[in-house]
Amino acid sequence: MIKGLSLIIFLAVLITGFYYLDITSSQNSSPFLLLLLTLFRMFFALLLSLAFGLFFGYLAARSSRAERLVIPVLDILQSVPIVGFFPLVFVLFLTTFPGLIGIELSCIFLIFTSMAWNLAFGVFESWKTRDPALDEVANSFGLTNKLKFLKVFLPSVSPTLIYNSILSWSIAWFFLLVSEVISVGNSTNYVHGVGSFLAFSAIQGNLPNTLIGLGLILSSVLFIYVFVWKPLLKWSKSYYLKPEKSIFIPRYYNDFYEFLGNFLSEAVKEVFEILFFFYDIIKPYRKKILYGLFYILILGSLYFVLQTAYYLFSYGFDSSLSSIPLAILYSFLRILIAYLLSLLWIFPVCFLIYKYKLSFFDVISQAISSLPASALFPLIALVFSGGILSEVGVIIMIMLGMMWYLFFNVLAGFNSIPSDLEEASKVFKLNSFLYFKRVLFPAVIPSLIVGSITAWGAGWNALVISEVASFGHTTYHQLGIGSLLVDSVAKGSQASTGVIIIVFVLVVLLLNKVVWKKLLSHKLRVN
Amino acid sequence: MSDLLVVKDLRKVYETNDRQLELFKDLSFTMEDREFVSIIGPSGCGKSTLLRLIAGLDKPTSGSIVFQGQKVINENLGISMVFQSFGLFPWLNVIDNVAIGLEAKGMNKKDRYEIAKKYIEKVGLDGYEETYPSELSGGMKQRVGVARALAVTPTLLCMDEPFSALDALTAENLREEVLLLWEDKEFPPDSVLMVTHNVEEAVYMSTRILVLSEKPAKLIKDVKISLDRPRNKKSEEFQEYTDLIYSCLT
Ligand SMILES: Nc1ncnc2c1ncn2[C@@H]1O[C@H](COP(=O)(O)OP(=O)(O)OP(=O)(O)O)[C@@H](O)[C@H]1O
Ligand SMILES: [Mg+2]
Repeated sequence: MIKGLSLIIFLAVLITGFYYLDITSSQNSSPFLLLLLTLFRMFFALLLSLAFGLFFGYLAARSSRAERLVIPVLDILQSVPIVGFFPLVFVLFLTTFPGLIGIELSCIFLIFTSMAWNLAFGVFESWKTRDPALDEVANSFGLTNKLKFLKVFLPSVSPTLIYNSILSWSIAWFFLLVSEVISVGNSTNYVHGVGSFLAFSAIQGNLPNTLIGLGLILSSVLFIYVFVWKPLLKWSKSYYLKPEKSIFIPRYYNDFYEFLGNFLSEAVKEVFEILFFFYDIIKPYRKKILYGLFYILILGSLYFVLQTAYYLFSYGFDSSLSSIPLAILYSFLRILIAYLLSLLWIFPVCFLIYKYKLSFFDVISQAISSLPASALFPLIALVFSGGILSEVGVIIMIMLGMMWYLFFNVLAGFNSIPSDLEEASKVFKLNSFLYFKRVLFPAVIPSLIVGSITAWGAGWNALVISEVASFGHTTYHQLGIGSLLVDSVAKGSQASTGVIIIVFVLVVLLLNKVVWKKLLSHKLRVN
Repeated sequence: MSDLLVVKDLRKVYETNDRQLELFKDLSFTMEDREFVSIIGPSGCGKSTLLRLIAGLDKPTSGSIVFQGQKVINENLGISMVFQSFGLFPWLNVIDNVAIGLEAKGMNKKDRYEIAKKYIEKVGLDGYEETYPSELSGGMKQRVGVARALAVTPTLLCMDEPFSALDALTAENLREEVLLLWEDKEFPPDSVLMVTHNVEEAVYMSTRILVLSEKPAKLIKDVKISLDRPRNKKSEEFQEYTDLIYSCLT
């Protein structure tokens, strides 16, 4: 209990400290302070996302009824680009908590929306595909639900949680410039943080400050990667259960991290024990609470659609709406090109990393992928402006936003090839063509599909920060669904914002249903 | 008879971050053409590793392995293997798994399926050609592994506990099949190297049994089994051999 309680108290102290810093700081505070604020904010959002992911991922994996409800909703939420949440944020936080708290909550919520979904999907996937023998063992020894959660569920999803946390963390950086500048209607709120600092400097065309902001972000990303994520990742590897792999996991981490890891996992378990205590209290009502939540969600979306329709009827069509079909086509083509270009380098590189065990590159790419590409955005706007060059800039941005999902999934696919299959293909002398056709390809395809789904989701999301950019007076603005959405949010036109979001979500869902779900079910049949 | 396989002063050390694991120390033995050699030893002493070294899947730390007069460096053309962990391709059905070595030799689909079918029948899996490994029981997977190793007609067949997951009757039948192929001078495999924990099985099938010690494994006994075939498990001589092996193990 002590460890769990101390962790909770520690968090409470953090939150108070953060709030104090927040109210005493201003837009002109030292960039270091702003960076600190941003890190706090991201940390809180990550905690929320972890809780969200654990809860809904577990729920969806446990019962197929819940799965049918949760997964489509997550799917929709995932496909809504971050600025699409602005209206919701407005209703939820800004009007209920006026002032600093409301803005702060909105900002954390926006960061949360860029972190949460992949965590939930990760938990769902890994719990769904776990070794069924584990359950049987747990049942045969009569483990209670609580024990199952602590001793079977948490350890089995820990690698996914850590791995996806790293991903979420880099996505949050990617969207930070958007999340820390909350513009609703005519008012633009700059939340105190390094993201808004960067955005503000870029708008003013202040190059030194832009570079300072960039440098701060980059160095903090590297710092956190080396001192937090890397050790955590290594620690999580000791959890991997790969019965067919005759690879012996070396004990990487040194004593300090071992201690830290043990302490943390103990503390986390104790926090869950405490949560379980409360859970037991609300347990009788859990169904009602859950259904209540979903009704609210569904009613909320209905309300949103109706309200948009109402606005449309009362104010008439905005002229920008007529360009939606063309905008979607353009955006789609951009993502497609970015996707193909990404595949073109990812497949060979991952193969080389796997084949020649270049674990060194593995680490480097992890670090690079955490760099917030969008922070470079103002600079990209500066370099690639005008005509076809802007188009190149947009595609580079989309690639930066989507390719890492592909990269890590493909790499994981290669690395999941059991070593006895490698040996069998040697014993039976498969030549390179056969080896590709019979071993590498089939092994990688499932993860390639999963990676592609998330990559495309990320691509659609990245549109909103790729299709418009400005640095001082240098601006580029390419017609696309992302730039349309940004414009209409900026203009405060609720009707067109609503329509664009609805169309956006529909297009993404349609693609999911038509392309990816088909491929996915095919993949499941093969395995 | 000529030497088929010469293992000399073999040493294998695995390095992990915090310790060194020495598997063999100066392990030497030879195997002649047309022999059926079984290896028995305590779990974890390095039997599977030994097979992997012989098949060229891993490199010895020092010492040498010579097969048919040539030093084993890479995977060897004349050696095939039944893996302890089966090593089946989960995305290939039974017949494609069995035929994979033939496909690698460039054989066309019709021919390789014909051969694969023959071996699938030999291991008693006819009717399961289209099934995927995930739908097979442990013993069935093992039999697919045996069929796949036989199908490539190797000079030396290495088997890592090939009958361990089978029921008594199926194991009996499969042993007879393997013995028949081995005894038949026309058909490969000419020689067999088998790892097993089953002493009776070793005495029943082998011409020689090598008993290994705990790691670092040394050869503690090299027993030639001179019994006529078919062997009678109830006979006194048979009992004497099994007793001898058991006494080496304890
Ligand atoms: N790639 C590897 N890296 C490090 N250690 C290994 C590796 N492969 C095997 N070992 C170690 O070598 C020892 C021997 O393993 P091996 O699989 O050869 O044993 P075995 O005699 O076949 O055992 P069993 O009878 O249980 O199958 C074990 O202690 C194992 O931990
Ligand atoms: Mg073994």
